[in-house]
Amino acid sequence: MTTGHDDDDDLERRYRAASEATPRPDPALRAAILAEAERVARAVREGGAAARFDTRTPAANERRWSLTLAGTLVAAVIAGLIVTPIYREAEMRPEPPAAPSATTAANEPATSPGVPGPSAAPIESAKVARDASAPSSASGASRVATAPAAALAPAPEPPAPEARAPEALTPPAPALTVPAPPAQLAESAAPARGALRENAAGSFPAEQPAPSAKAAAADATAVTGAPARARLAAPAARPSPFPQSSEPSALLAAAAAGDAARIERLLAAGAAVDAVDVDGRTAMLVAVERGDLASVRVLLAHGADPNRAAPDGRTPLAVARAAGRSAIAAVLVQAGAR
Amino acid sequence: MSDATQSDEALMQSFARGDAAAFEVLYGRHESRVWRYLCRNVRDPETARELMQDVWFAVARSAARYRPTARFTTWLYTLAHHRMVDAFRARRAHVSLDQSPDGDEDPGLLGQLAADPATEPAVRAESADDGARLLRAVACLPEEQRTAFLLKAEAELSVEEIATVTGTTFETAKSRLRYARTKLRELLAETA
Repeated sequence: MTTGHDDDDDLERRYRAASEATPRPDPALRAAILAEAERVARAVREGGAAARFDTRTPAANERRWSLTLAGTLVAAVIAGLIVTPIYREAEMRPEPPAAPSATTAANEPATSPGVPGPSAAPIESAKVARDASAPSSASGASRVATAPAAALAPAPEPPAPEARAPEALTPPAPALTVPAPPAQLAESAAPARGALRENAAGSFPAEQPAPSAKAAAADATAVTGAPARARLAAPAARPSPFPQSSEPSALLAAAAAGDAARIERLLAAGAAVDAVDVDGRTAMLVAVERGDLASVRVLLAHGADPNRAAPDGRTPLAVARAAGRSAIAAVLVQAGAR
Repeated sequence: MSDATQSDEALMQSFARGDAAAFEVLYGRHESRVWRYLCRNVRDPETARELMQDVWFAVARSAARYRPTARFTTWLYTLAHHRMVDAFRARRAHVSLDQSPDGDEDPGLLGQLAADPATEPAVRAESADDGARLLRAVACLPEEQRTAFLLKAEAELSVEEIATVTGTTFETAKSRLRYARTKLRELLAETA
């Protein structure tokens, strides 16, 4: 009777037997390497050779890398300590009331009468407030101001309750449009969280339709070059209909790479097994498309839904059958796929 | 004077004292395995040749600072692995994928590899052979699993040493090795 260990040994023995036939590197390569070794050895024999060694990088068996790693980690922690309070302050600090005036027009609450864009979110409001502090007079510029706002306020009508949060902190004020140079407005759209600190509720010009959240977010990203911050606002604007994982991209990347071991690690660490990518595909669907049976098994073992379809309706089983992957299809059926 | 009975570590220390013959013994002892490890991983003979030269140049130039704190083999394959990873990164900057997007189970992939000019002539000539199928199956493994398997089967490293070379934990190295073996058996069964 053979054991798994014997099978492993046999596999490696067969590999070594097959691999033996591989030709050796060409003699020229061998000659070049030995010539370099001879040069180094001669330098050592002649003394003072140490300076001729390549000392820019330490030998791989030395431990200097651990000092580098420790230094990097310390720097990262310090950077985190510096950055984190800025964001926390932005979220926690109460908003002081602002006097209604021409320069504080943005203090108007999002739901003020006469404001057709009632869903102006706090972030947009802050943006407008920031812009209002800048010298500006061109009314045409206010059109630009509405674009980033929509990234944070996906539902112009009726007024979204969550968009009214700043009302508790800011007194009502007459509706005023806030002219500002387009460049300033675009710049202020991206740092959404930072803008919260500006403490103001904004208003939309009456004639401005609110563009889609996605388009506005894309605009903000393209103009400001700050996609990370734009993404901060995106979930609030349009919540995903699919379950979100703490590490969806990592899991999906592992599925796309066919790395079942990594998938297992991520799932063991708590990654959502049915998280989806931007196309709405689960890791299961990605693994099936790749024909990665090992990954499919790992995902099923961690409770992946074998029937979760892509947005276009394709189920993992349908994909497996269409691609002629009978082994995967059989595993899926066994797991309850229909 | 160095001879073939000396340990790798002793040869390396002899070379560090200026004995070029020690390096030659060392090189002859590990040449084929390192070469095959690189060839199977990068699959491009020219890249493998460059890596082979880089690795052994690094061994020679680092000799003065070599300390026998671990097996020479572990250090040697750590150098090889790091240079290979750098090569993968450089290649990915130019080529997004070098294998079928359809994945490892693609029934046509083994055939493509057999027809790949980068695949060794010996393998192509013996395409019906069981050993050749095994080598092609190894080529189909995901990168990390293939590396783990080759470090075990080719370099004969332990799981602990594989973890050291690849910069992972023992459990990760063990999992990769297990998945590699499982996938190899599946691939061989499918092409039997």
